[in-house]
Amino acid sequence: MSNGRVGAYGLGLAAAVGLGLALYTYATPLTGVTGTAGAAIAIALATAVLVSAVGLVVSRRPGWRNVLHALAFVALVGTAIAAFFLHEWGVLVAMALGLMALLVSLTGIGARTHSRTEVSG
Amino acid sequence: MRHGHRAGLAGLLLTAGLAAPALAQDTARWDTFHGQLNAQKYSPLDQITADNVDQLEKVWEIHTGDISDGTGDRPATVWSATPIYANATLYIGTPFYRILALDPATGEEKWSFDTHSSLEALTQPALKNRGVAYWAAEDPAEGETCQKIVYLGTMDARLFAVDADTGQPCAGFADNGVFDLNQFNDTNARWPLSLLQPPTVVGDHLLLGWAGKDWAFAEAPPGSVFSLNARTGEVEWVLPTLPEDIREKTGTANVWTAMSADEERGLVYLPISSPSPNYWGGNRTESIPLATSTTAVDIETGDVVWSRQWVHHDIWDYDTNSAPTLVDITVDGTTIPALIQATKQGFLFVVNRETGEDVWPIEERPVPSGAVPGEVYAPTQPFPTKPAPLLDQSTKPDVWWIADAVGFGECSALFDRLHYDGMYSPPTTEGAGVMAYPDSSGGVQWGGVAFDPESQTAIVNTSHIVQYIQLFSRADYDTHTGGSGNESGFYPQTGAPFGMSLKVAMNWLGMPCWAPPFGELVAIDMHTGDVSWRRPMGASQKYGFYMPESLGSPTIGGPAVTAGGVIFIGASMDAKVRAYALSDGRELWEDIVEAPAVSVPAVYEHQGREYVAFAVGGNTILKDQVGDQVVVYALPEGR
Repeated sequence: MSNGRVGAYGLGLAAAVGLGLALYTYATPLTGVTGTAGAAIAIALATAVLVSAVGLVVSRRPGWRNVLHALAFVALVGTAIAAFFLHEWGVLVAMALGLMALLVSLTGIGARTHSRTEVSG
Repeated sequence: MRHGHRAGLAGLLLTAGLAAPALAQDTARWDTFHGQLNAQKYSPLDQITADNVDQLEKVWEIHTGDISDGTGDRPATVWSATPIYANATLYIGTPFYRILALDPATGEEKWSFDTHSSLEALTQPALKNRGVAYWAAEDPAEGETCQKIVYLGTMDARLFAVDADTGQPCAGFADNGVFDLNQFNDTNARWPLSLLQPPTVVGDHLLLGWAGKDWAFAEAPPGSVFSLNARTGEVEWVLPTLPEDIREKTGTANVWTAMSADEERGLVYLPISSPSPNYWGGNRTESIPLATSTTAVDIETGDVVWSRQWVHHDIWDYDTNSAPTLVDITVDGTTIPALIQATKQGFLFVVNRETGEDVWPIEERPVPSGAVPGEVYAPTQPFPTKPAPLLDQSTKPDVWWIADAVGFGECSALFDRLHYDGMYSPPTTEGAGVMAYPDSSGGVQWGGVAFDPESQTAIVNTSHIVQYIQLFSRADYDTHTGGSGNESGFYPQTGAPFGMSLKVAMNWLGMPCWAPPFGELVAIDMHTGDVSWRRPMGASQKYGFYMPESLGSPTIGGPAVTAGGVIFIGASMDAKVRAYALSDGRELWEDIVEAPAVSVPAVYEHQGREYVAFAVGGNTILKDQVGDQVVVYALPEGR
């Protein structure tokens, strides 16, 4: 399996964990952020990360992958910022792991591009 | 110049050479709104200490079900009740005007009583309740009911008395267990005399103030304090707080908060609010000596023994809003029976509670005047020289650069349009109005001051909130649109030539425009009046997002302090309850609760175990988050 796919799967896993935790803190009483707009924003952003990760797993087109990488990055950072101010530390850790996975996925782009260059040369 | 009455009992005590009785503080009582009648909010219990408080665990919680967020037909609830421990039971009143009697160890309901109140916001913008009061006969009659009584007031001015053992109405009290205070509402009766604060029980006397509707009318019901017989509900005396000849053209100067009492000296201390209307005083230019004061009253007769006015001709709604804390302090080697009066202004006035005389000098200083037609401004106001003000009200607060940047200069532009020459800058029609800092929420709110008698340390939480007030001529006001909310919005002051608006200084995103901290916890060494330590308290929270705790939070509710060296407090915006070290203010423990715990916690011992109880109700002044939770903590059993 390529680095890109491994990274995408890792990103998806981190996003799923983050989304689950964000949903839990939104819906569970006495988390401090139960039912708040901020917690809903964290859920929306974590969902965006997960969607991006799924897109990265299934998409082969470099253009799309670049867009999805960018979207994933913005959503990751947004989720992490929201989690920080919501004191959702589990979500924050998940997003940090997701960021590492995203970097791994990005190395996959480089490898693939390099490989194509060799073939065409 | 000193405004006030001095007379009677204090002089008698001194000339008769009687030894000054000490305040009782060795028993673990928590049977009033402030824990004890001296309002120290101090428990001599020491099972929970600064070293083990981090092991606290939740031993029970209940949800009363008496909750409304205001989105439906029912007004929102604002619940600031102190659970009281008496008769081996935990009693609490709810904002739906019910009494719950709970097992202190388990929370199991022993009985409940429903007043079937109409649940209408007749005077306040929300359904408010601050709990219940308890009385027990000194010589209970064997086999008779109502030898121990729990009292609960309602917004529609009725006081209910029920048997503390059974929850059944006490037929011998007033009219089949119900005293209707509104029968005395015979002047400017624009709204009922709401009983939101439980009565203060002193011996066999029930001391009853009432709450009204702020900012609505110039002419309002005139302030009055009632003493009832605790057993029968018979009126013993009534103290009018306004001079007879001006009662009809103004109003209020009522006591809406808790009182404190020195039973040994036979004195009850009344924190009296400002007269109506709140932000213009052209209808009440005469001297009103008891308004915005602390007034000591003979509990048997209702006669005023002494009174100290803290704001002359109050046009800022700086009600005296908390029970003064009665303390015995040693200053320069002399033990003084003292009283600490916290105020919305962020001052702590400290006087001798027998005489009303200064402990540390309280100076009359010149204050700004204004130019609103019909107004007559007080030339001076009292300033304590010690302790130092809890916040700097002498100069305009700094703009918080982050809020200003986010608002693209909105905050600094607003501040430029606001007049401020110290907190006694008078309301105006000019510009965007006058800055209200501290605002009418304080400073210090009804939680007041806790006191550790061992170290003689006073503990007080304070808020730093900037509002701005603008007066509008009647014609201009009538053309303005805009709603009124909970201590924010437009208010008519009907009957006065000026309506007014009161707004919090925030940017478009709801961020406070003024520089933090937004609230603090402060400890003061009462030997010297110097600050021992101070720290930001709690965290502000909006949309769920927490701001850093270094910025603090506005606070509503009060602290409790124990012989274990621990301060317990909720009060903050972030819906957490916390414990701090009395010695240095370190945060030792916290837990998340359902809403801001805007009440005074209760500390009690039951069957050998020390418990800490919080009523968690929320207050829309802090944020729109309501609760109906009673939560109780203790150390794990066996420790």
